[in-house]
Amino acid sequence: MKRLKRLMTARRLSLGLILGSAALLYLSTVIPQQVEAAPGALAAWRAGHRGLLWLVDLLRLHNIYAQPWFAALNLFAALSLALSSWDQFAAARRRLAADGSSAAELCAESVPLEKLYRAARAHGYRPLATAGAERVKCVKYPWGYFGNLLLHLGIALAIFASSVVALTGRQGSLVLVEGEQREPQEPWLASEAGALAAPLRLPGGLRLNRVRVGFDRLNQASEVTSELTLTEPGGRSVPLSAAINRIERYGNLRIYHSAQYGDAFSLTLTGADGAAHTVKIAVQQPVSLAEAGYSDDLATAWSPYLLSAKSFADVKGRSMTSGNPLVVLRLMNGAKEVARTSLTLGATGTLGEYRVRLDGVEKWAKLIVVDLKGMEAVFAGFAVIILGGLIHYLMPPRELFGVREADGSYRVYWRTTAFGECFAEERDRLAAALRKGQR
Amino acid sequence: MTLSYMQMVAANWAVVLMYVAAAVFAIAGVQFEKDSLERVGFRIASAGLALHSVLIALRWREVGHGPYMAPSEVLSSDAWMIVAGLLVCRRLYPRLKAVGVLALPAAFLLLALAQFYDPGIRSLPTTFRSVWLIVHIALYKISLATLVIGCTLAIFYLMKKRSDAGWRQRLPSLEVLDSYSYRFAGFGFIFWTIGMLAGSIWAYQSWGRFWGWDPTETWSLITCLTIAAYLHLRRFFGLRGTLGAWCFIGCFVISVLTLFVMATLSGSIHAQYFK
Repeated sequence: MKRLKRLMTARRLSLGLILGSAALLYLSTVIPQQVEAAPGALAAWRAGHRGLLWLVDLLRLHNIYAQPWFAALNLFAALSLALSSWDQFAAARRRLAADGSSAAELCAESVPLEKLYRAARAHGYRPLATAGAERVKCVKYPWGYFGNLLLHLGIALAIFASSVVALTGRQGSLVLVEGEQREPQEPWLASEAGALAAPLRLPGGLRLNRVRVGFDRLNQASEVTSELTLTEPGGRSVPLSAAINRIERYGNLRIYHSAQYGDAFSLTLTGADGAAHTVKIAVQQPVSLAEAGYSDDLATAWSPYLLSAKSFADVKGRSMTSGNPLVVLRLMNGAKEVARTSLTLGATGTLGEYRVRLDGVEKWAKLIVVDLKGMEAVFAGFAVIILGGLIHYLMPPRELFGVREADGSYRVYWRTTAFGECFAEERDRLAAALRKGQR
Repeated sequence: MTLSYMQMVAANWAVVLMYVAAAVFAIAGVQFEKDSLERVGFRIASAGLALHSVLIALRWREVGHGPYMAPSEVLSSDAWMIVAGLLVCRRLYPRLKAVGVLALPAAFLLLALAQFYDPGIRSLPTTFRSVWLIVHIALYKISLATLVIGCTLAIFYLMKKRSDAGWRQRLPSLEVLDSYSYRFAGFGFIFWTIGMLAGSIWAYQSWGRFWGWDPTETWSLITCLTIAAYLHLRRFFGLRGTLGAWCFIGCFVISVLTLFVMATLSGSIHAQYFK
């Protein structure tokens, strides 16, 4: 067991884990990953690297972060860090009490104890309790001994908690237009669930009542809030309000407002055969009066073409909240534009072979529903990392040792636990203060 | 107080020229062993920094967001942070006054480069209205400034090691350069790490995910791990001297690639706003 622990806390292993992790992450930037690769990029990469495909597929390198071996590697690293933190705790306690005068530089000789303490205090060194007056020790930033311990403990906690979140977390996203309700049995727009989590279900029907958008003096959206109603299975209605950067909570769930929101245009398109088709196309909120917001291309069952739209906030270009947007509709054949028309509310136009009418405009918003367990531990880990890192790198302990001589005065030694030459000036100032008044 | 576009351009070029003058004096101070020249250089740099601060504040008020949306704003604020870091460093560590010889040219080149980008006002997405974003960006900029100073010391180490003649004699000793380079690597590492964690908190607050393996996030973690490996090698494996300096320069190059190349070339959420 001791041998295993020694192996787990070996410095070579730590270095290997750091370099191995960096190399693995680099690999994930070279091999396209399913989670973020652009459409076609993955297939193009595979076509150009046929000789490597057996290895890529064996290790599932197109989805590195979701692999059990990746989670196992993370947990192994967390365990190694936790064990090494335990050792560092013992080492920090030892160092705090240790007499390191034999390894320190001689700073001054024949210094009375009172003078030693006075000079030490004046330079920020605190006397530590020592056994007898034979040897005394003063330390600047004694908590610095524990900085490295905290840094490593924080990293271990953050990795461990992140792994729990990744394995048990789940989320789903949905797009709602004002007045629309989504039921629990309906599919999500997109969803994810960790290996140990069941798929997420809404706890009741979720209705979008209204989307409110506030603008600043530069006409930039400063606040976006969706007012919602959740109807529980028992029939009770719960009012909810999700806003960008303001999370709504319902039980274990958190509801996030996405940055995707805008106007949904209700259209009626009438073909040459007299058949009328109604569609609703969601356009992203324009970022300014002069710039348009754009929709995704919309495929329909009744047309061989894709329908796309862009819109401006105000047909007169005066106000982001005019309620009178201008929408430009296009029929696309792949990348080629087949027809185009511009409409305001209630207006009719011609779009290729269709007569099209803009019947109404409502707001839409994309919401993200999240169920994550362990985030508190992740953030606690972050806090410990920050505390440990700042202590370790900004406040390395400096030690002053006094060794009593036969005449009752002290030989004074100084040393720093890290960054030796960086504190030479402090050492020299201290030495000057200790020697002051001596011949 | 507001400035017209032309006044703003002229004022920014004035700051560039002040930093150029500061660099010339700093170099002359080291070259001719004249502390007075070096002091004049730092006074000019301080005045330039004051004017630069006013220009950044005016721009902030005009566009309604901090200097982190357009490339010109990003480069300008990076240059500001390098000069500010340099002045703090000179105050805290007087032995390192020669750092201005390389850090000031880095600052004026960044600021000059910023003037060639479109200064148009970028809209601020609503998700960017978070204090965590400001903390996230500010810490990366502090980290960049400390890494620039550390890298300058590593370069000085290599130059002095090669030849200790002429102006190099007036640099601090090899041991001092080596120790401070290591210390600034530690500063860079911790500020980089905290900046990354602040970004993670911001992402969780805005999108419900604290880590998304976005290419810029991944490169930021690679940089963090690379600097961590350097620090481990120094502390536990006796990495020092020439090899240590080269390793640190390697870490610095990776951090620059992450900040200036990966965040704009890759299909990252960061690229959406910095293109």
